[in-house]
Amino acid sequence: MAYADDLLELAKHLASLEPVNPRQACLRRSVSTAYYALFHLLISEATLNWGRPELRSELGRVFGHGKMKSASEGKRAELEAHFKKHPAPSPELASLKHLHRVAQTFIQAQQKREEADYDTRTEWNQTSVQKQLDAVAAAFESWKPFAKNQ
Amino acid sequence: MQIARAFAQQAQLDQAIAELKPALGPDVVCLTYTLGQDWTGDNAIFFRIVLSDRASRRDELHKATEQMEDAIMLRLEPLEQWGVLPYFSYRSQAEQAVLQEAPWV
Repeated sequence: MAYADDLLELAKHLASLEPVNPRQACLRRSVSTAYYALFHLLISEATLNWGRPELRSELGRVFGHGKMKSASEGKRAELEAHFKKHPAPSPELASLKHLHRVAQTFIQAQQKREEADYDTRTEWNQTSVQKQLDAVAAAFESWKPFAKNQ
Repeated sequence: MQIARAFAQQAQLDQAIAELKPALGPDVVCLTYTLGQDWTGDNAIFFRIVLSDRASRRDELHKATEQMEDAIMLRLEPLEQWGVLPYFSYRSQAEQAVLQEAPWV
């Protein structure tokens, strides 16, 4: 999990590197790095229990960005259907809401990463970048109850 | 292949979003959208929101935008009712005043 934390810290650093008239390069790399922070948080958790530690990094490479989007969309839809039934408050419900936040944020962050890295038509601004950083940081917090190495 | 309702009934979508705006509160100075495809080719709606200076403050931004997104998801149901995945972009009033980019107003 340290690598993911470092990436999030780097993303925040890039966003604050030039407080006045920040260059697009800083803003865009910040958004992209924030996505990879969340990406690596999730895949490192998934590979932690792999029985052959020397192959964990190889297993991590199996997690394609597209497949993770599909998995996140499926989980989000499943959770939203459950929430519409208005379940009673409970620790389990609170956990599910955290999981929903992680899935929702991951989907958003992927799209923002694509836009930041490849779509040069629009200008990024500090508000949108800060919003992304806040959302990913909140997703890191929401993931904590599910983390294996706490 | 079936066309998503958002594309086929854009006038109705415009109306649904116009009816939704007041419920989002005064921190939403302007709300526009475009339809298209996201990075995997899925149909998507791209919301662009100009925030009040209050909501753009560092200590308010996350909570304010999260509430806006939750309200839009709950009231509009972009995927369930309109067949499009929702994505959100933001600007503060101050940033909008400088950029004055047409699609955002």
